[in-house]
Amino acid sequence: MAQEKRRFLNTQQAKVAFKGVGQDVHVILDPRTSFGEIERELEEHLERSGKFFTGAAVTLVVGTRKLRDEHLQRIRQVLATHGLTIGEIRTSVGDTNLAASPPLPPPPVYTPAAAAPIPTRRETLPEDTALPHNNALLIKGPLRSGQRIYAEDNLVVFGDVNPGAELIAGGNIVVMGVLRGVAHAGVPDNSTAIITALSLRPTQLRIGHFISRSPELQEKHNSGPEIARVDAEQIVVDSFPRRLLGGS
Amino acid sequence: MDGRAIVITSGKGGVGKTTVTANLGSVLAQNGCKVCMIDADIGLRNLDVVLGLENRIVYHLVDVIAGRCRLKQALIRDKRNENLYLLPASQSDDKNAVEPEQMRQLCQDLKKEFDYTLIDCPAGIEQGFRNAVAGANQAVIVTTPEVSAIRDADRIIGLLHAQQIETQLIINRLNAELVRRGDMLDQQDVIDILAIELLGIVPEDQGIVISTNKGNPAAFSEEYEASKAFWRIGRRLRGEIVPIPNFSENGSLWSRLGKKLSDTFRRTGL
Repeated sequence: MAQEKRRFLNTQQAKVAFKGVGQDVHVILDPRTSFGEIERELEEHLERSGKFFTGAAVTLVVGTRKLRDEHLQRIRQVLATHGLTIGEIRTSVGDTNLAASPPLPPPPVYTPAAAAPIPTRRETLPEDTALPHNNALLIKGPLRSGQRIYAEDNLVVFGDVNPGAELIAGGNIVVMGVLRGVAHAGVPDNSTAIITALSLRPTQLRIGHFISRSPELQEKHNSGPEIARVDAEQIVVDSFPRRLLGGS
Repeated sequence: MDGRAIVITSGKGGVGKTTVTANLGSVLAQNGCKVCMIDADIGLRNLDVVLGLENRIVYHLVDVIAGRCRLKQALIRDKRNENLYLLPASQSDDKNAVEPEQMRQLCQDLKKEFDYTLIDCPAGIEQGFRNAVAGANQAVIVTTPEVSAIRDADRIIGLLHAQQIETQLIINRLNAELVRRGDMLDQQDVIDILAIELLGIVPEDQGIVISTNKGNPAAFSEEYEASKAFWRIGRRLRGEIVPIPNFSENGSLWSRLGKKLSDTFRRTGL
């Protein structure tokens, strides 16, 4: 316990700390230090350690620090000169997440002209639909216009997602609220991903390389939770089955 | 032959730049011109909503500039008119995501394809404004008959003239009744201050609010006074000579004389 606490203090004091966690190397940036100092410290640390870390994909732990796009670029550069890459970024701030978002998936997969199919609404979900149980990024809503959240794996939002906000996830997307913005699950090309929301009224849904837009006239349906997935080469929407909610 | 790139700008926000862009685009397209509208308001996009095309956006202006997609992939064809296209703005970037030189190049490319490229400028005179005007050959200044809007329009006109960009004026939301009662500046007052060519006057019209909220520009339905005004402006832009109706002086000779007199009294303090 005491040792645990000292280590915690140490990592707090160091402006940049390298820490082995299982198989991974965590690079922890002190949230209160200015970026200039962080940058210097990081360079010095890497100089000192020589080729020790070369080839590693590190996990960058930024905590509450707001990291802008250009800062992140700079960190990438510094790491790259010593042969390191960023494997993952851990943050508790939306802005940093925004900056950390990798560029959108490669373009040629969508043809906007083919964006026409309107989600089909059906009554029930087939029995064999598997539900996900992996890592998830939890985000508190509401997400407003212009906010973009990227999750390597699954993404769960507690609250509404407004028009103009964008969710991007390597895995599935769950919105505990009204989804009015754009949701893109299964990036770049996993068409088994699902998108579900307490109320599903998206501007657009994308799953893997499939894309569908909302009907022109959004009728004010009150159908409860729904789930979108790819079936027969198009995105379909079903009402969320009661059996998955624990009902009979 | 290259088309024209026209920036729609105002300085002040909320005077109707986006509405004017959407409606002028709609009118020109219905006249058979090929039109591309660019939403240059990066981070606060609206034009897509006013046109009812929000749910079709896959790529946007910043994607094109950053080379993440081809220009043709980002252009959204209007659902009502096949001559009309929209290049939407990005919502999650800011104005600094684009440089004036890149906009100039983009407008060059668009002018080869389109008869008219209409650029919906953001409010303000900062980077967003500089980007929006960079590729334009001419400018349409939108103002309302309010002193604050006119003040900002004047500033914008100065900036544009310094760059040798030709300017024309649209007076938006003129309320004939208020002008008649002497409670609103009339068109002559506005022109006296700004001293540029008047392209047209759009009367205040509830139809604009209704059509904007429906995502269907007023210029697609002919029942509104404002849409008639936009049709006249479209013809003037294409070089026709169409008289500008005088919204403020449709009273009798006597009422006009009365106004002149009361104006004189007001000015001389009698």
